[in-house]
Amino acid sequence: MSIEKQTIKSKRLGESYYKIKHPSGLNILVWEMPEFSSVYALFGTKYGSINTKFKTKNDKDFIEVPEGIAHFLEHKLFENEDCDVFELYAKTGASGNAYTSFDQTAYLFSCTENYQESLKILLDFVQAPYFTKETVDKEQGIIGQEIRMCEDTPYRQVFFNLLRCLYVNHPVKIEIAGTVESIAKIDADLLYSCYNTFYNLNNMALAIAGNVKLDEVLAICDEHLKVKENPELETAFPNEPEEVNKEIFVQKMPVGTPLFAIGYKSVPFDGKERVKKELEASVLLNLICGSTSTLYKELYDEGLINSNFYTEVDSGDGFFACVFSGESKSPKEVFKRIKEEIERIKSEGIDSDLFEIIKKAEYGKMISGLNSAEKCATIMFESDLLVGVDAFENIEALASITEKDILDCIDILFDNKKTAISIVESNT
Amino acid sequence: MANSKKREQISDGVYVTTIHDKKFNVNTIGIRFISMVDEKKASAYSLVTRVLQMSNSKYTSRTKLTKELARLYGAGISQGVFRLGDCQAFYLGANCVCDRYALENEEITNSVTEILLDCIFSPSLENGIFNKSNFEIIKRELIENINNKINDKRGYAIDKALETVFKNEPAGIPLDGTVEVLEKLTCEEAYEEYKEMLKTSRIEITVSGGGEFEKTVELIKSRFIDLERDFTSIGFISSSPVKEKPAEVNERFDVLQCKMVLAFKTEIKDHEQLKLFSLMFGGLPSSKLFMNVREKLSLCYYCSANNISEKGVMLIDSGVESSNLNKAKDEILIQLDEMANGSFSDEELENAKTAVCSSLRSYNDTASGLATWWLTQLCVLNRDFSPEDAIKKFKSITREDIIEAAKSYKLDTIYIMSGNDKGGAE
Repeated sequence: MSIEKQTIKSKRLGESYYKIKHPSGLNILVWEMPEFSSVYALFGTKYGSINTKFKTKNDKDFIEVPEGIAHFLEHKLFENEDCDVFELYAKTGASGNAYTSFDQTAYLFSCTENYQESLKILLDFVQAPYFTKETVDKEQGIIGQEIRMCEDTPYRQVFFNLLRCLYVNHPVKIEIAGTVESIAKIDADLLYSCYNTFYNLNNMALAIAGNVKLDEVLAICDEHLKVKENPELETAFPNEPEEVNKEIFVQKMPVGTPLFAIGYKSVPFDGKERVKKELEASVLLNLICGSTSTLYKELYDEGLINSNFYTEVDSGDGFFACVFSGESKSPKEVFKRIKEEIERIKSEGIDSDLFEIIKKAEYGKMISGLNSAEKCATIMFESDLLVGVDAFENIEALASITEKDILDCIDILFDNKKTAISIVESNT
Repeated sequence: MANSKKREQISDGVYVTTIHDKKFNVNTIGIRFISMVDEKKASAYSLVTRVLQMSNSKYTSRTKLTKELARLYGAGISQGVFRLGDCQAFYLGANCVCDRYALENEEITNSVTEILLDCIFSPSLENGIFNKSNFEIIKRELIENINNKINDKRGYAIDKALETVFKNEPAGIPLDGTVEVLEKLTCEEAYEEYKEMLKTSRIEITVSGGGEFEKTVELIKSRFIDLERDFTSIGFISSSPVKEKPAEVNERFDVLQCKMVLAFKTEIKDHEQLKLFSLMFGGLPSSKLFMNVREKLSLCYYCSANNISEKGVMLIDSGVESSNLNKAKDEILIQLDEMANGSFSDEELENAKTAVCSSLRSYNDTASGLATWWLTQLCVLNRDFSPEDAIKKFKSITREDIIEAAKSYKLDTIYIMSGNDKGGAE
């Protein structure tokens, strides 16, 4: 088979990896790290909890499926017709796992020996679904327990409650595992339908990093990838207004100090623009209330936040939010002060010295983000599958960000009319 | 093996271990003050390391310090408390990217090391003791953190189980101490404890990563060499007596899923034998507990075995629906019996060996992983035992060794966190 091979390089870091467009439609990403012992591989699809509405070229109308089905499918794929996948990995010594997030499902293994055998297992089982009524019923018990565990986890509740405040219709507001009620509607036929739609090599990627050789990986891919017709998948999302759903939500459950999550909703971005906006948002979060900022010091000294305070950017197909999270005896006061600080920065501008420092810190974070086979494989995989860019795109984008870029986007990313707070406080 | 390891004693009870491999792109300097503590000392030392982490005489506030670290390419100074057998290790460490990534040829690693050493030897003082307002803020935060442990139900359940497992033993002293002691602790007392910690602890320093460390080690030596010491050597391990009748602890919270922790004790001291057994029993996705309690009977989302092998303790922790608590407990005990009766295949034994050897080989791929490995071996277990030595040892373990381990475990403690009455009847 003829292949299209590209070397992706970062001059800045002196690092490189290979990107191969396989004739089967799959993008294969290989990072050779001969001085390491470990190997880490990810094989997955651009299909997560938010993809509840879709059609293929064979469907007339869009199909809607129960919440939590992508995650349910992930669990079920580990069962082959004749054995459990973990039994196969047990023979090679690899440690296998999988995860489902908003916009992806990934199957992975790590190992230090026999990576070729483990790679064959990975490629084979992800391409061989086997669902029956019995196995689906059994899984409902296990996932039901997983859902319960999430419902008892205040950190998770405070975050998903925030998403439900920010989003009116977009499915990012639903729990990744669904609910006990929604997963009860899942059956083998629905699983096959989702599988056949999303688990198409044109909608997937394979990333492998560590002590591997490109030629060995490609030879296994040639042999084990099953070429199927491209179903020409289309996904659809409900219309999402720019405004938030509600400004505040408070949940009561057993916790110590109340937890909070404050979010700012903005319009979503795609491709390179998404990478750039994520970085700008991250720099802004640091300027507003990162650990080097004046506001952070004030809130900390006044006992309004503690060291568990952190910021993050959550973005994907159709959503983009900047989030401040932490623990506080007075979350509403923290919210008020953050709003005031945003207005202050909008009128007074940003601290140039701090801007340069934050850029340096982000650069350092990106370098230490490439210090293992796992991290290298993950960044190749997610950049390609989810955003359609190269793994070094963020380093390049960071180098080019200016103060003006930051000032230009603060109104879009931090609009005090498009913000909400979620609080979890003690019920006693 | 591309990495190199060097260890030297630089003062009474003070050791530096250097691990270098140029493939790493970050460096970590870890300094551990190790001591056998009671509740008072556990509280005081934990608070002291938090105070030291936040500032020093040059960067007198947390913001000034973090800003300087951010300028050094997002370096960090971190703090933590860990158990090492009967002792606790109070950790202060620094991490940074290797100097080769500096955009303006700055010296990153040595600058970060100096900041860390200043935090330890030259803290920000006021009237000869810690700055009182800083002290109060950090004390309040530590108290909050202790009160917030309930937010992580799984971790909380394990902590509570361990308090009972190691009742009246040094290993049962809670990490970070207690709210009661902290509330009473004054800034003056904490400053005295700080001097005591530097003087009497065993001090284990690790320098690991991809940098060139000669100068870094010299910097460290130059500060520790003058430190006044009054050190008596400490024992890390004592065996933990098994209770005549298993202790049962029940706590009720408004939760949907119950947490159950079963603790077993053994008198066997062979770490590799115990580790391999716990992997086969409940440490792998192919283990007895995962395959039966989770996959076959769907009783739990998680049900796994963990070892505190220095103390001969194995913990089985699980998340279970309340109506299934007894079923899950019975099944765990049945599976342990099955292991003791030899109901496992040679293949299962070989698979567990393959898995553990694979993870041992990966130690060489993280600088901090290697640092932790050598700390446990050289300091706690007092043996010069590399991951490669461990691989050889694991490979020699027999079927009979596994049966012997399974037979030796006695149930010591059952901890259950259950829902309130309305949830409990489901």
